[in-house]
Amino acid sequence: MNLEQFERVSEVEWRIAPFGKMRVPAVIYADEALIREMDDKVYEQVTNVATLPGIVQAAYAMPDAHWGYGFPIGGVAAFDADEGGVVSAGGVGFDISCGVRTLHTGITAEAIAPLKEQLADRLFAHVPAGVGSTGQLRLNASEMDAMLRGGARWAVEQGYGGEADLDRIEEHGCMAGAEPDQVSEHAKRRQRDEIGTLGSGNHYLELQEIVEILDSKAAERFRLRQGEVVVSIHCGSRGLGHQIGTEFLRQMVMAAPGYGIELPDRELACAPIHSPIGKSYLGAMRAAVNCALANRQVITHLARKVFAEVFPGTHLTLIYDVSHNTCKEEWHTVAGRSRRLYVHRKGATRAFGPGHPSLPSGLRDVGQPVLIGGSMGTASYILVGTEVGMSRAFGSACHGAGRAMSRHQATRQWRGRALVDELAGQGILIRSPSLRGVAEEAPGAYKDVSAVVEAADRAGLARKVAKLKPLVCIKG
Amino acid sequence: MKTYIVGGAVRDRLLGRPVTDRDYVVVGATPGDMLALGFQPVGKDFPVFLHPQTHEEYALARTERKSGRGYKGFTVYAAPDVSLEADLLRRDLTINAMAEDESGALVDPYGGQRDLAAKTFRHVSAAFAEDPVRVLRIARFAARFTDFVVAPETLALMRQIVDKGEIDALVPERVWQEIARGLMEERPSRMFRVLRDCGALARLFPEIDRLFGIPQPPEHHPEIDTGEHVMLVIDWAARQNVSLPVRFAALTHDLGKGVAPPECWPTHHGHEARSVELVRALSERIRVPVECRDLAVAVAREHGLVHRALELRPGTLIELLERVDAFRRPERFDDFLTACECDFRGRPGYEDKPFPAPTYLRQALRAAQAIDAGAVARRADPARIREAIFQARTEAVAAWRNQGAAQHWAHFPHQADMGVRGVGPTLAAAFEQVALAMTAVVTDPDRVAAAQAVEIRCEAPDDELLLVDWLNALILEMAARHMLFGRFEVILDGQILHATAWGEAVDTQKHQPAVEIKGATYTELKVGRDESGRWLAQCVVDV
Repeated sequence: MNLEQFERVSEVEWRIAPFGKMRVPAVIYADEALIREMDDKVYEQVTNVATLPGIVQAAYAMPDAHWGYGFPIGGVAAFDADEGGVVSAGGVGFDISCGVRTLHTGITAEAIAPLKEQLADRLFAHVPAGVGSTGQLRLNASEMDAMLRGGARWAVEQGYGGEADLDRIEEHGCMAGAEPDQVSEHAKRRQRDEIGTLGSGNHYLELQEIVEILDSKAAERFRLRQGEVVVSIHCGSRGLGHQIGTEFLRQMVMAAPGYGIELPDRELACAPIHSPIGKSYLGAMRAAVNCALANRQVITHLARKVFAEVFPGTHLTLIYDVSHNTCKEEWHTVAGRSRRLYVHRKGATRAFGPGHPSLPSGLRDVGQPVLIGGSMGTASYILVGTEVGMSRAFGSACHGAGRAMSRHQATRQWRGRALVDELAGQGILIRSPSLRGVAEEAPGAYKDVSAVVEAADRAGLARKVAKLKPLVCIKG
Repeated sequence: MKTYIVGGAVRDRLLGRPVTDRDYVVVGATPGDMLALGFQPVGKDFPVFLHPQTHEEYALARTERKSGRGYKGFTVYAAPDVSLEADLLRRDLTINAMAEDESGALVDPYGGQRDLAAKTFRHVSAAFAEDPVRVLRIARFAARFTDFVVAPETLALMRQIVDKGEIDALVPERVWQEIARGLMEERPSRMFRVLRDCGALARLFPEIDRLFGIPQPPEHHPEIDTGEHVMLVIDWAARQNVSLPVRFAALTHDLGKGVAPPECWPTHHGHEARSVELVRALSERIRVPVECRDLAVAVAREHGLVHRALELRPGTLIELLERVDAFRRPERFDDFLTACECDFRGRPGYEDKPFPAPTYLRQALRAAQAIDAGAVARRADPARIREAIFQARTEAVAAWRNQGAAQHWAHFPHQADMGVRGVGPTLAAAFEQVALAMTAVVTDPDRVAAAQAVEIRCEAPDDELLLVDWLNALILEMAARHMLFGRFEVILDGQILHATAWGEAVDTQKHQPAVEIKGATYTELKVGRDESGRWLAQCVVDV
C-alpha cells in the first residue's frame, strides 16, 4: 500500500483520519515492510468498517491483515448496542470460532525423535482430516442441542478430557447465550457427523518443538521449556459455522436497507444488535462458538489417546485455547468510561493482559496466552497479552501469517509430493489426504510469521514468549 | 489337540495390516474328533472343516508330496502325528509359515519374522518347486507388499520351475485368477516385473513381455519403452481404485506395439488393430471373462481416437460413440473413458496435465442423446432409419460444438480463497459452468462420476443473489452428503432455479480433494452479459 495515505503514529501504528462516511478513524498495526506489502483492499475494507453504525473508538487491522469479506481478515471492531451498534456476520466470518489450542506434553523432542514416524502415522489414522472425512460421533437432535449449548463443557461431560481443561479455554469452555433454536436445520445437518474432524485448508494438528524462550517468566507460567514438544490444534466450527455464516449473511444483506443501513459492500451486511436478526445471529453464532470448542476438545481427546499408546503415562495438559473468528460481549474502558461492547475479531486473537477478571487464577497475574499459528514448515509463536494492549485494540492481537499468494499461484509453483519430501528432509513430517491441498498450503505461499509477530510485539498488542518449530503436521 | 492361527492372518497382524480372514490348523486330531465337536467337513482333497459357530476354516495338520504335473498332482498325508512344524514346512514363503497358538504365542520355525523385517520373500523349503502356481502367487504378493523383494535363491528356484516347463502345465483359469487378483493389488506392475525376472512372463504372456524394449516417440512418451509405459498405466489405474475390467484394458491397450514391424517404430501407426487381435487371442487363451475382454477390445481399438477427440469431425465422433455402444451402455462408456485416461496419465509428467477428452466425449454424447430418435425414425424412409438417426445425431453434435465454443468455466485469483466463473450462451448455462468451476476448486470435475442425482431448488430476488444461493445450496449438499458433483443441469423459471446435480461420494484416493468449500460469498459477485451477448456468472468462494 501507499504509505502516504496514512498518518504515521509510531514505527508500527498507522492511522487514517475519518473521511467521507467514516464515523471513527481506522488504525493499522504493522511495520513499514508489512504495510507496504499489504493489499490495497485492506485500506478499503478497514475504512468501510469505520462507517458502520455504533462503532467505538476505531476500526483496527492487525499486522497480518489481508483482503477478507467486508471486514479485512485480521480486523477488530467494537460496537455499542445502546448507540445503534451492529453485529455483522461477515465481521465474524464463515468459520466461526476457528482457533488454536496448544497442549503441553512434557516430552523432549529428543525423546520423540525415534517415534516421530509412528506418532505421525497414528495421529493421521486417528484424527479425521480432509474433505469428506467424518468423526466417530453421530449426534441426534437433542445431543446436537446439548453440544451447542455446552461447548467444551459438554465434551468433557461426554468423557472427552477433564475439568482442568475448561479452565484453560476462553469462556471457561462454554459460551453463554448460545441458542441452538436459532441454528437452522441445514446447519445442524452439515454438522451431524463432523464433530472431532479437523476440516481442510489451513487447518492442522501439529507437534511442535519449543526452540526458543523469549520471556522466561511467562514461559515458566505456561510450562514451556526449551526442547520440549507441544501439540497444537487449529480448526473451527466445521460445517455448522459455515452454514450459519452463509445464512445470516444473506438475511443481513436483505434486511440492512430496512434498518437504514447503507452498505458500501454487501459483505459488510449487519443488523442492529438489538434487532430480531441481530439477537438471533448472536444466539446462533454463540452456539457455533460452542461447536468449535467441543470440536477441539474431542480432537484433543484423540491426540491424548495416541500419545498414551505411544508414550504410556504421559498426559497432555491444555496450555490455552483461543478463538479467531468471534463477536463477544466484553467490558472495555473507552475515554475513561467502562462500556459494554460487542467486539468483532475476524482473524484476530483475543489477547487479554494481566489482571483481567476473565482469566483463570493460574494465569491472571501474567496474562492470557496468545497462540499464533504458522503454516506447515514455518514457525509458530506463543505470546502473552499485555496491559497496554487492552487500550490498543480492545485486547486483541494477530492470529497467523496470512497468505501472500493465491492457491492458484501456489499450485503452479509447488508440487505436493516434492514439498512433502523437501519438508521431510528438514525433519518435518507431513501427513495429508491430498497432495494438491499440501501444494496450495505451501509454506512459501504465506507471509513471514516472524515479521508479523515482531510487529505485534513492538506495537504492544502482545509480548513474545516462545518460538515453536514444527516436527509433524497432520494437514486437513 | 491344539489349534493355531496360521499363514496370512499371522503375517498381516505382524505387519500391522488389517486381518480379514483367519485360517486355523489343528494338530493332534482325527476327522472323527472334529465331527464329534460339531465341525462341518468341507475339504474334497484335504481334511478341512468349518467351525460350527464362526464358520472359519480349520484344517488338520498335513504334509503333501508331489505326484504329478501341475498344481493338482499331490499326495496328502493328514494324521494326528503330523506336527505343526511339518505342516508349516510345506508352505510357500517363510513369512506365510508362521503360526500363533491360542495364547497368542508365535511359532516361527523358518525365520518368518526375520524375513518380514528384511522385507524379503523367501521360500520355506525346496518343496516350494512342487507347485508352479507359487510363481504367480509370489508375483502377486510383490504387487501387494510393495516394498518387499524376492530373495535371490527363491528367484532362482522360480526360474527353474519356468525352465522345466512346469509353468506351462498350469490350467488357464488358475492363471487368470492369479493375474486378476494381482491387478487389483496396490502396485500391479510389480507382479509383471517379478514374472519377467524369472522368465515366466515370456511363457505366460509373450505379448506383454515383447513390449519391453519397443520404443515410442519421446515427445509423447518421455518413458520411451512401451513396456514401461504399460506398467505406469496399470499402476496409475490401481491408484485410482478402478475396477478389474478397466485395469485389464489398461494392461492390454498397447499390445499391438509389440508386433509392429520396426519400420513403423516409434510411432506405431495402426497398432490399434493389431492390439485388438492380440487382446482377443489372449482373452481366449486364459479364459478372460467377457466383460473384461469386451472393454479391453474397445479400449485397444479406440484409444488413439479418444486422445484426438477434440479434433474429430462430428460424424467421426458419432461413429466412435456408436462403436463403443455409449448410447445403450453409459456406465461401460465411463469405464472406457477411465481406461483411456489411465493411458494418458501413465506417462511421466502427464499425471496432472489437463485431459479434456472424457468430458468432451460425454458432452458430445449428451448432445447426441438429446435428439428425439422416435420422431426422426417416424419421419425417415423405413429402409434408412439408421442413417437418418446417425444424421440427426451428427447435426446435434455439430450444433453443440458451435455453441460449446461460447461455454466454459474458469478460476480467478483471490488472496486467501478462490474466484469461480462460468460463461455460457444462457444464464442457466453460465450457472452450470460456475458450478463446475466450484467443483474444480476441490477436484477435477472429470474425475467425478455421475452416480447419484440430487435435486436443488432456490429462489432469490435478483440474479446475483440467486447465484450465491445456488452455489451455497450445492455447498450444503456436498458437505452434508459428503459428495462431489461433476455434472449439472439448471432450469431457470424467472427468479426460481431448478437444478439437478449428478455426483458421487467423496473418495480421497480417487479425487484427491484439495480443500473444503465453506461458503459462496458476495465478493467479486457479478452476473450479467458481455459485449458479445454471452452470460457470465462469478463470485469468490471461501475455502
